Amino acid sequence: MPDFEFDGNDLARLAALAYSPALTTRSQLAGSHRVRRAGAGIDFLDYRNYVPGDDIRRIDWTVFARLRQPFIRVLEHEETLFISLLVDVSRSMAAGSPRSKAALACQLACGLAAIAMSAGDHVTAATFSDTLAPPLRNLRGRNMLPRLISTLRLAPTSGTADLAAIARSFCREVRHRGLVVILSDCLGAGDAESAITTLTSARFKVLVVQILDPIDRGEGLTGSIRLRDSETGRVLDMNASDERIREYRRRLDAYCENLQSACVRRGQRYLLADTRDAWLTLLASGLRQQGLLQ
Amino acid sequence: MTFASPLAFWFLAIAIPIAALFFFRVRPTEIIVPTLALWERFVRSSELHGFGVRFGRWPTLLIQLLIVALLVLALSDPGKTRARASVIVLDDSATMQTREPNGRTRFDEARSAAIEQIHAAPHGVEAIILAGEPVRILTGRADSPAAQESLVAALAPRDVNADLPRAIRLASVRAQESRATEIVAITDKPALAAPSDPQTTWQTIGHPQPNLAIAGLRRSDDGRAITITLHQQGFTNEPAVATISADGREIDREELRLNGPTIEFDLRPPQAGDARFEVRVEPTDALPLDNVAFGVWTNIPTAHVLLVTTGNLPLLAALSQPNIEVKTIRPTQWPSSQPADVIVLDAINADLPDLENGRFLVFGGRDPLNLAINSAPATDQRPVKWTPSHPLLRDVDLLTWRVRRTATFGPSPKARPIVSSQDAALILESELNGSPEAPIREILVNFELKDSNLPTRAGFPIFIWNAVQRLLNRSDEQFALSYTTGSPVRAPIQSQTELRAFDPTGAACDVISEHHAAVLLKPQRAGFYRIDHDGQSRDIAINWLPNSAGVLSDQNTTSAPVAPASVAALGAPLSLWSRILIAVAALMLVEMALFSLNILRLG
Repeated sequence: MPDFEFDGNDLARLAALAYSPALTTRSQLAGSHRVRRAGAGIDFLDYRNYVPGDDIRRIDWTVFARLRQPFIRVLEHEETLFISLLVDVSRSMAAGSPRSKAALACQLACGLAAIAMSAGDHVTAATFSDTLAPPLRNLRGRNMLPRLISTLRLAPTSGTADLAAIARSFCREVRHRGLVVILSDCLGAGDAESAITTLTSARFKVLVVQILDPIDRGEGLTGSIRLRDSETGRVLDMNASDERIREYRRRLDAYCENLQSACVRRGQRYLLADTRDAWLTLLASGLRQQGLLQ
Repeated sequence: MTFASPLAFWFLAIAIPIAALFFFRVRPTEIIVPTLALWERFVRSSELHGFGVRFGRWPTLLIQLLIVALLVLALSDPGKTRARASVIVLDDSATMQTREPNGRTRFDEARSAAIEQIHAAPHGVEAIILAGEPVRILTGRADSPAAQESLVAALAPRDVNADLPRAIRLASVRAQESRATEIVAITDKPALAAPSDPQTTWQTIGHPQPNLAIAGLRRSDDGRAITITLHQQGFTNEPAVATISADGREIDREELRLNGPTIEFDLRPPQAGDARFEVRVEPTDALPLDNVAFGVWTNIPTAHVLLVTTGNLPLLAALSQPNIEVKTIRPTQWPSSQPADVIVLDAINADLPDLENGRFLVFGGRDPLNLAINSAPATDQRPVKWTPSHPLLRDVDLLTWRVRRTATFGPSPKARPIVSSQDAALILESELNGSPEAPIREILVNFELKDSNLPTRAGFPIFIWNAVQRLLNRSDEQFALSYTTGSPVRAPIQSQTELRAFDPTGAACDVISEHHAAVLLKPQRAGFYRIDHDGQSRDIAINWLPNSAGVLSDQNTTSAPVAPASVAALGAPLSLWSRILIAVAALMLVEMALFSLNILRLG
């Protein structure tokens, strides 16, 4: 179970953050995200000529009295945002220093959810390892945040994550298209690129937050060591020479770049996080740079 | 299967640190990683799956333990019929000359048993120890089995008693030094309480047989006859005949009936001095050796003693002994014209002139030669310090002596105290000039006889005899009829030149000169020995006298003969296959060490 902290102070720090309206999707549900599109909002956008069929309640009678010609007040449309959070709680996420990757993933998920809930957006959250856990659907309002936190805290870190299979399950479970945030180390058995393809094909917008810890980067490995695959239990006895560490890092960097380019090619976003990073910093700077938050 | 070196199994303890190192060795640091995929693409994999990880190293441990087991097995030198290492104690004493009903002597059978033991051991026995006095080691492991066998085959029993306790102790020490596992004692004597480490196996030879033995040969109490002591068993109430002969001529004959286990009787000695004689008893038995005794009769010269006293009947009675002729005078009759070898002064306080040339036994009074110093008298004294082996005190019991008042003799540089009480010297002796090499001139008894209980003690006449003999520079050995085998023989001979001695067969034997005596070093044969010195020749007789009554019948012959003890040699050259096994195991160890180093180097 991920052991992470998330309290009221963190919420205050998140108050200044909001999702970019570009992430909204057309739907019948009104939200808090104003878009430059006519709609059923409150704020005035423009006038246009009345055409038969328009709701006469939207005729601006003041203008009609002055010009004797009916004009319709066009208001700014406010749309809702659907955010889905997929948190990897497989065994590989249990590792990490100074905190586990799963803990950082949960903190980022809570932060992203809190930002969305503050704006009245819909949040769907689910953990996954071998399978996709039953998602918490349509979490709206800050009062739903404790439920999310407790659910994440109770999620067991076990199993093997197959991102491609999880993506397929998610597409079947969730109908509202929106932003899907995958919080994982993406080093499990499944093919992360295939998962991105699956989600984008289902018209989800995808943000991949790849969380690595120093060990994943090959730091601190020296001497005669035994590497144990956290998910499969397989071991590898080796002597961690500098040459080998350099080779490993080169291959890891290539893997991460490959994943990032896969996201970029599909118009999606990718963020590389480290367990040593502060999660607020990641949200405030990392996701802002990605244009996800404003 | 037996093992020549079972102690090698202690090496199995090596398995403990090996196992401990296996379980507690420094293992590589285990690090959990999300995936091995990236590593496996460029690191040569030595991975093992979960089951393999857990149990994959066990074969290594098993192989190591197997190698240790092989080494231990090889070092223990197993063999299908491997015998144990042993030390043989072979009794070559006189009783082993007993002839058994089958016509063979006990020593013949013991010798055969010892040779069987040697044959049973591929590398010979650790040692063969002869139990006859003096105990000696016949052969050790340095000799080959063939050499050991030839040494045993050439052995003959000696005319000596056995010292089995000493032989077993020596064998035990030898066995512990050589890590032999067993002592095999081959003897006709009963088993002793031997040390348990290593175990002693008694292989008893012989059967009980009747025996008649001459167990003692000495002068009679009056010194005029030869007293013979016989031991018999199995001849009770049967007649026997003892004869004494010299130069082939019978001197005396005694017909007697053996009505007890010990019989003592006298025989007339030869008339001439320094005459060799031979005592023989019949009927003869399975051990003829103890039916014959040899002796040399020497006439003891009479000692002339002049007693100067005012009247002392106890002293006069004590001096009235065979070979002592006593003349008594009063102090007022001094000087006397009587010849005197020894002058006894009984509490004479007056000055006696012309005393320079005599030998004196003085009881209180004055020291005629002034060899002692004057000291204060002491009262109520008893002897507290003396040397029992001193010739003056031989067979004298001093524990009951009481002295009411001492005289005034005190030890000086010339006078040595022989017996001392708490406060004074009771008996002193001195040469004329204080030289130990000079003959004793004076024996001072530091009390008057009337002031002590000495005259009433049984040892008083013996003390008087000893004192006279001491002053005349005589010893019992000088007039001994015979000596015994197995111990040094000290024959009083005043020799100025090199001594030579010959045993009964005429062969030269070891002899040394020691302070007016010729010492034969532990003669092994009974019979007449000849000692040549200064152009003269002297005969002495040496007998084997049994040291116990039933020497031939105490053996435990009811037990079945002990099977030949298995004999082996720890530390003997290992067998060929053991050497091969050790070489293979050593190679495997080296290979394993190199493999481990290689693993560490390659990672």
